[in-house]
Amino acid sequence: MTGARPNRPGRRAPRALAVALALVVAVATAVLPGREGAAAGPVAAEHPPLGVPFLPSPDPLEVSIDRLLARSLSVRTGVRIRLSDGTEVTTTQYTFKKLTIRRHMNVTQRADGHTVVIDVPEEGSLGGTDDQGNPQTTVMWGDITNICVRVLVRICGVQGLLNFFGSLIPLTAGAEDFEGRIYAIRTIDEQAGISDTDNPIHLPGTITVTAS
Amino acid sequence: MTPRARPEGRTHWRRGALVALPALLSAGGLAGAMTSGALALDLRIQDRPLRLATSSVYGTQYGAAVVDVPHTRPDGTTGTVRVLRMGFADGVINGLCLSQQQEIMGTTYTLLFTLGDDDPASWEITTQNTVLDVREATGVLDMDGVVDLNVDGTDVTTVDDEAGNPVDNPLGAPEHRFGIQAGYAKFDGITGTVQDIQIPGLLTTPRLDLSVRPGDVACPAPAPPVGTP
Repeated sequence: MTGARPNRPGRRAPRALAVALALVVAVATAVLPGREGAAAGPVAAEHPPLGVPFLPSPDPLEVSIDRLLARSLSVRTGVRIRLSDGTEVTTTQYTFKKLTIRRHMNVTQRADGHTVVIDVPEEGSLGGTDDQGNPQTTVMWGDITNICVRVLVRICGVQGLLNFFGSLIPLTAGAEDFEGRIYAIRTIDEQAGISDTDNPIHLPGTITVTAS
Repeated sequence: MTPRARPEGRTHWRRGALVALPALLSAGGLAGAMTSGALALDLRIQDRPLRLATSSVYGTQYGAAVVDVPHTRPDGTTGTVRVLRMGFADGVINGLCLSQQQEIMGTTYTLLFTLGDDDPASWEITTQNTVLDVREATGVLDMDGVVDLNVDGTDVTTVDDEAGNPVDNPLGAPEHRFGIQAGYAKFDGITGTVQDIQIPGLLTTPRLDLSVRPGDVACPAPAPPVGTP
């Protein structure tokens, strides 16, 4: 037969005590003193940086930007860079001035055991301007596998743009469908200071780390 | 129904007091220790993630790296969870709320921890070496200075040692992991899930509240910050 159980204090007390004990444990774990860094690995690579001012992780970033604006893009091919595992790669260095995101940027790194995603669904900045409005520099090392500009007709690919524009590619009218496999990105603001507007790196979106 | 069955909605004051008293005592002890400077605030949750909401976290010498955080599962087995560990050498936090759900004897409770005030212009919490272990976070991340993406995590720096030199691998990253290095960072309007949060150098003692709420209670959505620190 089922029905309401007798309301016996003797049965309530252990339950309440267990609840209270669990809460004490939870609070205690919340205020424990500091801990050592988790899974600390060996520090510093044996090899100095080459081609890039720092040693990038060997797992490249897959970068896509649906639409972007930039004052200019210059290209330097045959750049030899060193990754943090010591391997050397010959790749391309791209230098943007005043690079802004007009629609959706996704940066994904797929590595052994995890995936990191930085997703900016609308507008943002990956260099852009400082708080004085000065154009900033963004350098990428890797391979831009696609980028398209509409100049009467749609021109795609870095080589196609170089053929059309010459060594300094203007992107002031915008570019679209940017896809790249990028080892490293550096942006530089010599007059740095966080303001509430016009920070060179401005990423309104989501950062996620998932196991894979 | 037996004659002894009680009506729905009755408040069990004695049972509630038994549950709440230890938590309130712990909260009171924590607040007292912080006030006296005897205890550095260092939150750590090993077996279950925390939900976090803050109007803004701002700091200098910002670094981030993918690391493995050890944790114990509810069944007692151990493992690691991979997170993006963000570190700020010096900084301020503009209001902070953390919530953690607890299942105790089949009943859901929420530990709700708030630090600071509700004024998005006050930037009232001053810290050193703030570390967030982010599983996912939504907000506005601004960075300035020299900003590097995909730095080897072991090369990321945040805090300095006593001699003024950067501490090697302060985030404890394994080799060849994704990292970010920036001179300044401001992360606004954050809502998300963190595996761990540490604020060992709490330089101010803002208002602290720790409460136990029945059910699954979320932190309120953070107000956008006003101005800059």
